[in-house]
Amino acid sequence: MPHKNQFIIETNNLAFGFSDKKNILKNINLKVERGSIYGFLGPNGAGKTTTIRLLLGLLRDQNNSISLFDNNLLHNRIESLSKIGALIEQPSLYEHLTGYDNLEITRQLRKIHRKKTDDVLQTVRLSEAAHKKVKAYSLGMKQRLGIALALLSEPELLILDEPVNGLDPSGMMEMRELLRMINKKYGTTIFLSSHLISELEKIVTHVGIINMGEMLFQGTIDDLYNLQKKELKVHIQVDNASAAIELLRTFYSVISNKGGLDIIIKSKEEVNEILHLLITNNIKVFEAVIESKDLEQLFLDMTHNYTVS
Amino acid sequence: MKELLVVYRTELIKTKNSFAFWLVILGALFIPAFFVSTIAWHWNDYVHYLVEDNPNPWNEYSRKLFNGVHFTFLPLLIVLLVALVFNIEHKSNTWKHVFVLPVSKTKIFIGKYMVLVTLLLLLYCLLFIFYLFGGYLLGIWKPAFGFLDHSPSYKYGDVQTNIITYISKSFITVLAILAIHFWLSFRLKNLFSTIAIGLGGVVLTVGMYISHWHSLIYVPYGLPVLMCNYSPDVHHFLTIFQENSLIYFAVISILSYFDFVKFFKG
Repeated sequence: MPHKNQFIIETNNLAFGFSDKKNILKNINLKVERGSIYGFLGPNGAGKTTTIRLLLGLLRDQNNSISLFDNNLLHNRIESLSKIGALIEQPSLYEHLTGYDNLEITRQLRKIHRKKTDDVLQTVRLSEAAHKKVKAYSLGMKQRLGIALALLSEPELLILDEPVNGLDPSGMMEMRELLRMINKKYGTTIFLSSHLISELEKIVTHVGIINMGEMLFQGTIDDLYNLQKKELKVHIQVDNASAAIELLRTFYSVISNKGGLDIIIKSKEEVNEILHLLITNNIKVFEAVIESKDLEQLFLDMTHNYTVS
Repeated sequence: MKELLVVYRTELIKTKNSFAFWLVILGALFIPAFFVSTIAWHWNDYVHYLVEDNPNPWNEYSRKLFNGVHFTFLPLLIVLLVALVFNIEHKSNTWKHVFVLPVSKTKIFIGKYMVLVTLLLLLYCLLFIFYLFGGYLLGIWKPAFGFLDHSPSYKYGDVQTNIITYISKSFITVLAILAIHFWLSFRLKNLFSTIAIGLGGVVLTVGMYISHWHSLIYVPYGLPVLMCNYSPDVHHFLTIFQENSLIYFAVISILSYFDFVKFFKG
């Protein structure tokens, strides 16, 4: 039996530009593990959709640098696409047709058994609305129908571009549950993009962060959490803030904030030293709170502080 | 071949509930309904016109009715029909979905063409049915017309033509417009742009109809108009403008095929 590469998607210095002068993507090396839920994050205009369009062969990769299912995309496009379910930006739906008819079109073209239509409708909880015209669906229902279309062929890989975009909080939660279930139940690898880390951090196992066409981070969600833990801050409320700042600034990076102090520390143990120093210098401490950067802040810092090299 | 039939079937599903489908029915009904109501309204004049000057009332009925169909109405109807069929993909933003399905672009191209030809054939079938229905209805209402005493036929000048042959030749003359608008409609997302181009072609035809009548055989939008008062070539099955339509159809279809397969990204 041939050995399967652990990566279902692999790109080797993927670059792309609509003109010769400016590249939208620069040396992207994606490595998406089989069975993972890979969150592809970046602000609007970072190059996420362009990358997805290249992965699906909707844009031509001139350098032949994309490998899907261990095969080069350029030479195995049709075979690769038969193993992929995709939802690009807004779901592509015929609104004058019913949800059922929309599924029928894809089912017939993918040569799938008729029974599968009912199965996926049940999976995305649209069985009752199946015979309503899609134009009567809510945005959440349309997104779910888009997922159903992508699921019809029981794909090994699901590529979703901004699947929670525009959904209300309950719609987002439903979508997250659905994707988690699909990943667990069918072992489907899910590659999904978003511009908000808070939407994805609860379900993804791996993360890739892209900005201005360059990869800034790639790894497991735990790797990202470890990066986040390295940056701690303690907020302290005291009776004499200016005296406290004067005292601490020799040893720490201190800034005044809301009548108190924000002090950047490397470990939690340093808090004890700071409090001891303040108390022994007759400064009364009312409150001390350790704050770690949340992932959202880390993501924003990564993408905002980034300048093209 | 089996896969092509599947593509064709799915393309047919897409036209369900669409305005394109209703346009075929309403378009086929419009001229016969209008013409039959006019005859019914002025039946005294038409009894003289259809019966006394002609042994077979169907000849003049066919000529008049199909003149009405071919003079600008049919070209515009086809322009609108093709634009509406492609607008289903543009409006739903579904090209990208179609192109990520494991189906070759060649089959998608042929499938779309097959659906449009099917809709066009349906248009002609319905037009023929409404034409017959109108004639027989007039015959039942006023036996003096004599529609029930003769068989449907078409005659202009001295040449008698089988009505099915006449309609088949009419179908050939619209293929040039079909090919041009097939290409324009997948390339231009804006429905009104393609309709405006079609309208421009029809206006050009009307402008040339009197002053440059002989040059109309080279204008694709003018070819159906040449079916008005059509007198068939007794030596050849097809007249030169019908052959021109087939040449336009073949050349433009091949060019648009290469554009669709090689360059069109949706």
